Parts: sequence; structure tokens; C-alpha cells
Amino acid sequence: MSDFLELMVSVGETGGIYALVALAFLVTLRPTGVFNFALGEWAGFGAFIGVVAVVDFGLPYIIALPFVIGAAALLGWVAERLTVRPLVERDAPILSPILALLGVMVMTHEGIVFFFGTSNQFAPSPLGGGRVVLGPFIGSSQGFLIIAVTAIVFLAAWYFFERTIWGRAFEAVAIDRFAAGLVGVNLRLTSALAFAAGGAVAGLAGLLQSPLTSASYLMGLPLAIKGFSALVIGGMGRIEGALLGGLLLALLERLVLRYAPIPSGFALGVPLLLLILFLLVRPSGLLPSPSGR
Amino acid sequence: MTRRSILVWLLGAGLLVACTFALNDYTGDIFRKLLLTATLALSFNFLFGITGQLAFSHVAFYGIGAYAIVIFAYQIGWPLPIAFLAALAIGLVLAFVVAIPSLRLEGFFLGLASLAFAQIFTVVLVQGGEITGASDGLSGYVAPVILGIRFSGQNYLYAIIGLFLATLAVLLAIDQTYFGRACRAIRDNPEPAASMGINITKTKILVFVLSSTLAVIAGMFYAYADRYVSPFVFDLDYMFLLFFMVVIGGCGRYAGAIIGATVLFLLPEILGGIIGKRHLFFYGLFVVLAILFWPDGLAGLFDRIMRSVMPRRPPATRGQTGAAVLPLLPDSAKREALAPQAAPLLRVRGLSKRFGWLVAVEQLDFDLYPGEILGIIGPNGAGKTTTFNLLAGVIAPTAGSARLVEREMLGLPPHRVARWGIMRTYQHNRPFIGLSVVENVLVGAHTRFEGRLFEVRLRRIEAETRAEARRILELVGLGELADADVRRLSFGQGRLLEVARALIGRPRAIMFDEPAAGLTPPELERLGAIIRWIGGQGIAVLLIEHDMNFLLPLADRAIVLNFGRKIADGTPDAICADPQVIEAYLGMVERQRVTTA
Repeated sequence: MSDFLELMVSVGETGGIYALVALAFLVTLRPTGVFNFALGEWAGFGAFIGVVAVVDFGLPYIIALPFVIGAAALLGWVAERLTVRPLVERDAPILSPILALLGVMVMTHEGIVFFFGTSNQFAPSPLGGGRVVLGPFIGSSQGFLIIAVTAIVFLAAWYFFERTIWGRAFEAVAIDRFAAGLVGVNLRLTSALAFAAGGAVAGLAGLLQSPLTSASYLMGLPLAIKGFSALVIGGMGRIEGALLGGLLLALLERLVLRYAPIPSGFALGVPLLLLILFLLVRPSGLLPSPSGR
Repeated sequence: MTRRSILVWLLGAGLLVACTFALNDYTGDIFRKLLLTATLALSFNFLFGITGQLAFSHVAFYGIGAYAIVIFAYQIGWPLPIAFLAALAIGLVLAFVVAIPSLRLEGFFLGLASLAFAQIFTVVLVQGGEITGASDGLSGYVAPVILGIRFSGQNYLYAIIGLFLATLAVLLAIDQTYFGRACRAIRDNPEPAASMGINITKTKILVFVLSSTLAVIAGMFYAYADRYVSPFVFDLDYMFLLFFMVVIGGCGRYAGAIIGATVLFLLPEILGGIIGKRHLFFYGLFVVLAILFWPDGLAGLFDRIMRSVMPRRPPATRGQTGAAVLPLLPDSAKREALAPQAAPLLRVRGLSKRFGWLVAVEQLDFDLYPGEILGIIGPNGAGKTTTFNLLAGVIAPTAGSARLVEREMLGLPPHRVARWGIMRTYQHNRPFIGLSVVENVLVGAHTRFEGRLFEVRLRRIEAETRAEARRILELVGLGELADADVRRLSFGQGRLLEVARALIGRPRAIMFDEPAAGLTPPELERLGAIIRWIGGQGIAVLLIEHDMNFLLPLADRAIVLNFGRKIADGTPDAICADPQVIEAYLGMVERQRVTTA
């Protein structure tokens, strides 16, 4: 039983990261229709900014956190302003902004290599590295932190999209961009905010991930693949889909690692198999968007 | 193949062979890898530049080819021809496995699935133990001897030149048929492409499998370049490089793929001292800049330079286009004979569509006869365009039936509806912007070609259809613009192009969605004459129109919709006198007055 509960904590830990990356994709994708492949690398960017702030500058974590989120949001904002917006405004084919962001993705990746090198960099956990017993649950302190932060972020995202006028505006743009523009939604600002928010959430995910595996220039792509696998599994219509997909993906990965007699490297294949399975059987994901949309 | 094109191919081959004599060991190695990369860029360009499909698996398929031939021929020890076929078969199966789930859906799912596929391919290579040689890769196998010729050194160079030219020839041969047009149409505007009879999913899957197979074959050649395969050759960096080559060179252009591959491949060799190993950063930057400021890429730049060096008179695109050359109207007797006595072409019964609680179309019944011009009128939101979309298969009906000469057509996908002989034009012009005017028209003839890619007659049918397309362009008054860039057409000319595109499909019925909207009075007059002529050919016309001055003299009959229901059906005169119709329209007027007050 305690074994099972420990498994649950570790699923919450990795699943929370996946869910956050999925959320980053989702908040960008819904109002803009642009799939931002660069988000994985932006998570890596967040991790390294965290290392710089905490290790190099010795800032307390509570100050480093908004710093990282702000830097990643700024990156998103700037990328939208410089690459996506000009293309959207001149009615370029839908593939153009996606390609431009691929360019941005490679630039981010190479930038990380240039500034931080190709060796892994230790990233401390704000709660120290120890193991924690929380009632019946046992896990790493960072794991509990990730679960808590994921819960807070998703609650905030849910509140934003369901309860605030700005969130409704995002939804309206997602449903019908033209009509939303007609009724006074500021499309430019929505698009910029969507990219900034996506960047912020991805940067946060990278920051949370880094104490587990160190900050590495290679961390971006696997995070991106897991994030969008989670998104396809959970469904792209709703915020909850990202959370469910992330947790489910992490659970299956853990189960395969524990019970299937394959090398651990092949666990990377799990998201791909799930992705293809879901595209075949249930392309709308487990939680499809509410009807009529 | 004409004598001139044979000459061009021979010249190209001779040039490449001549290059090989000027090479030393080092430049020879660069030359081989450049040719392999250019080959890969060509097949990737077909998938990405021409068909518009975002995929990250091309380099993985290249690696599959390389690893498969080495594993089958040396690790297992099969004879080379069998190893070749086995490697090909594996590539094909994997291509279908990636393509079928991800291409049934619209959007970027192929991008996601193929990225994950590429990632897992690298993992399999690294984890593959002795079979794949893990992260060390496989090496130490010997170059094969085929028909007494050893596959190395200068011979290997010739083989690679052959591969490059063969890949180019295969792609060009396919691209210069209806299939290439269909690919570009899908890239530019999928919805009208489907309504012209193109099976979008099937075409995309075929293109993905074709281009991936070409990558597999190129990979098999690569296996003998250094007689060494390693997981790090086939990583995503190379994939992104391929993207950048195609984009920077000029998306969708053969010259672009070759120029892009050459420039980006050679730059690090030449500028290695200046930009160092991290040239990908600059390539990422180039790509962003190219997309923003230079969407035609280097090939487009080359065109512009050539044009300024050798200015050619642009085709006449300004001014009035020639008058429509309509054949004499058929005598009215023929038309009379066609209409009421004949059996209806289309019999719609109980057609209904609800979006949630909103009733868009409710229990709609009507008949459409061959050669008849049937107007559909009604206030905004009455369900007219929804009716078209239901018949065209774009949206699924809630209930009802539509029988086209006794066969149920409701629920067919759009490309099947087109094959059954129902074409349409759109309320907003939807041209395929990457094609010339006459090629736009030819897309409308897609159903004539479908499935004939390998028929000997294809070339003749193509030539005949091309001539027919020009005649139809003459007929609607766009004859002089046949070879112009479609983006240079005026709005009214674009509308006429839509009509020509529908006409060439030899339809039994054409659905016009507000064709008069936005046209000038002379254009209206021409359009009216064309539609009347179409009816005279025995083609049924279904016409949504707001402009009563345009519709009433034209239509044989009209039905009036209001809130999704039919409220009147009869001759234009009878419709105008119908009290319900007057109320529906005047009611609108009164309500508008209240809201503006």
C-alpha cells in the first residue's frame, strides 16, 4: 500500500510537469491556432534562468521564481511580437508562424548551448533535496512542491478561463476569431498574452523539473514531446484535459518502467505509442470540448 | 519526353560527372554528402513545400534505410537484393503507421506524431544493443559488388549522381500530372480542393509514404558513404537543417531545395572559422527572417535578378478582359424539353440541420431538374448556405435525404459529391494561390484523372483537358489571363475563375453561393449570360442570391427560406406576389428600423 502511495506521488511529480507543459501548449494554441513547438526549449530556458538566479546570483527562491516566470513570459511576448504577429497580420499561410517558431526554437536551443554549455548544471530544490513523509504519502520534497504548484496553476487557469471576462475573451477568440474581434476583443493583445502565458507556464515547468534531473540543454525536446502527447491524450478542448493527460501519461510510463521487461530508454516510446493510439481511436482526447463548439 | 528535355537531363548529368574529376579526397566527401542532402531536400520539399505537410520524420526514414540495409545485409547476412527489398518494406510499413493515424485529422498532428517518431527512432538506435551497435553505430562492413562493379570510390559517386537525378525525375514526373496539382491545391486551400473531387486524406498519405520511401532509398545509399552509420547522423538537428534548406531555398520549388541544400551545406564548410560549430543558431535566424521578409527564398531572389537582367514583357493582366465568348444560346425548345417533363436530377426530402438548439434547416423539400436554374432566396440566416454545405458533404445533416437520380448522396464526403457531378462556387473566392489561372481551372477536372497516374493515356488526357481549360477560360472571358498568376486577378475575374473551375468538371449540377456579390454591373451582366448558358447546356443550377434584380430574370423557379423552413416555391413572378414572402422580407425591414431607432 505504501508502495502504491509512493508511486502516486512520483506520478504526480512527473505528471505535474507534463501537465504544465501541455497547459503551456494549450493556452497558446487555443486563441491563436498556432502550435508553438518552441515551448519545450523555453522550458529549458526557464530552468537555466533559475540556475543563474539561484546559484550564480544567490537570490532566494521566492524572488527567483517570479524572475524566471517573467523572463520566460517576456521571451514569449517578444517572439509573438517579432515573428507571429507580422505574419498573421499579412494573412500569411497558417504554416508560416509555425515555421518561424521552429526557427525560434532552434535559436533558443543554440542560445542555451552558447551561454550555458552542454554539461548538466545542478539546480537546487527550494525545499532541500530530502524525502518527506506527509501523512501516508512518501516522496521527495521537490515532488510535493511540483504537485502543489501544478494544482495552484491549474486552479488559477481554470478560474481565469471560466470566471473572468479576459478568460472568456480567450475562449471567444478560440471559437471564432473574426466574431470575437467584431465584439471588441483586442485580438493583438490576446495573441501576445497567449504567447506570454504559454512561455511563463513552460518556464515554470522547466524550473520545477530542473532539480530532479539538473538543467540540461537536452531537456527541452523530451518535455515538448511529453507535453503534446499529454495534450492529445487529455483532449485539446479543455484545461482539465491537459492535467488528466499529463497524469495519465506519467502513470503509464511508471507502470511500464516497473512491470515491463524493457530497457528504461524505451519508456520514451510510451508517449509515442499512446499518441498514435489516441489519434487512431479517440482523436478528440479523453475530455473533448463541450458540445456546440 | 521532348528532345530538349532529354538534352537538359544529359547536360545536368554530364556536369555532375565532370565535377567528380575535379575533386580530391576531402572535396569528394563533401560532394557526396551534399548530393545526398540535396536528394533528401528534394523529397522533403515534395512533402513539405509542395503538399504543405509539416513532418519531422524525414531524416528518421533516411536513417531507417541506412540502418536497415546494413543490418539485413551484414548483421543478418541476407543477399543484397533481398536486404534492399526488406529495408524498403520496413520503410513503407513505418510510413503508413505514422501517416494513417495522424493524417486523418486536420492540423498539426502529423508534426506531433512524426516528431515523437523521430525521437523514438534515435532511442531505438541507442538502445538497440548489438543489432544497431548502440551509440557507437555500425561500421566495418564492405562495399558491395553489383554486376562486377564495386560500389565505392568513383563508382559510388556515379551511383549517388544517379540517385539524385532519379529522385528529381520521379518527383518531377509525378508533380507534372494532376497529382502535383492536387497536392498544391491541398496546401493552398483544402476545402475547395475537396469540393473539386480531391480525396485529401488519401493524397496526403500517399505523398507522405512516397517521400518517406525516397528518403529510405537515399538512406541505403548513405550507408556506403563512409561505411559507417551512427545514431547522431540521423538526429533532429539534421531534420531542422533540412527544413531550413527548403524554406531558405524557396518552399515548393525544386531549384529552391537544391540551392538551399547547397548553400546551407557549404556555409559551415566555408565559414567554419567565423561562425563556429553552432551555425544552427544563424540558420534559425535566417529562417525567421526569410519567412518574414523573403517568403520566396533564394530561388525567388534568383528569379528577380534574372527578370531585371532579362526583362520579359509581363502577360497582359491589366485592363478589360475579353468579352465572354459564349456559343449561341441553345434554342428554347431544347430547354423546354429538358425541364419539367424530365425526371428530377436531385430530389431533396426532409433535409434538416440543427446546431444544438438552433434550427438552421428544417424539413426542406425541393426538386431540381436538369437544365433548370433554381434560385434559393431568403433573409440572412435563413439556412441557404447551410443547405449548400449539407448537399456538398461539408457538414453532416441531422435528418433527411437527397437523391441524385435515385442514389442517396447525403452523407457522402465532399470529394465524392464532386465525383457524382455536383460542383460549387464559394461566396468568397477561394483560388489556389500557388497555381496559375489555367491550373486552377484544371484542378476542377480532377475527377477525370483520379487513379490514372500510371496510365499511358494520362499525357494525352492532360493535353486535351488543358486545351479544354483554355476554351472554358475563353468562354467566361479570362482567355488572355490563362497563364497569369492567380493573385493578379481582380475580384470579379476571380469569381469567373470559380465558375470556370466548376464548369470543367462536366458537372450535372453547379451550386452558386451568392455569385453576384461584389460584382460591377458589366460583370453582373456577363455572369448572368454565363449562368443562362450553363442552364442551356442541361446543367442544373442551384443559385443562392440576395440581388433580386440579378436573380429574378435569371431563375426558372425559386424557393424562399425563412428561419430554415421553405415558405414559398414557384416561378419568380409567383414568389414576388406571395404574401408570406413579402412579410418575411418586410418584417425584416421593420425590425431593422426598430433596432436602428
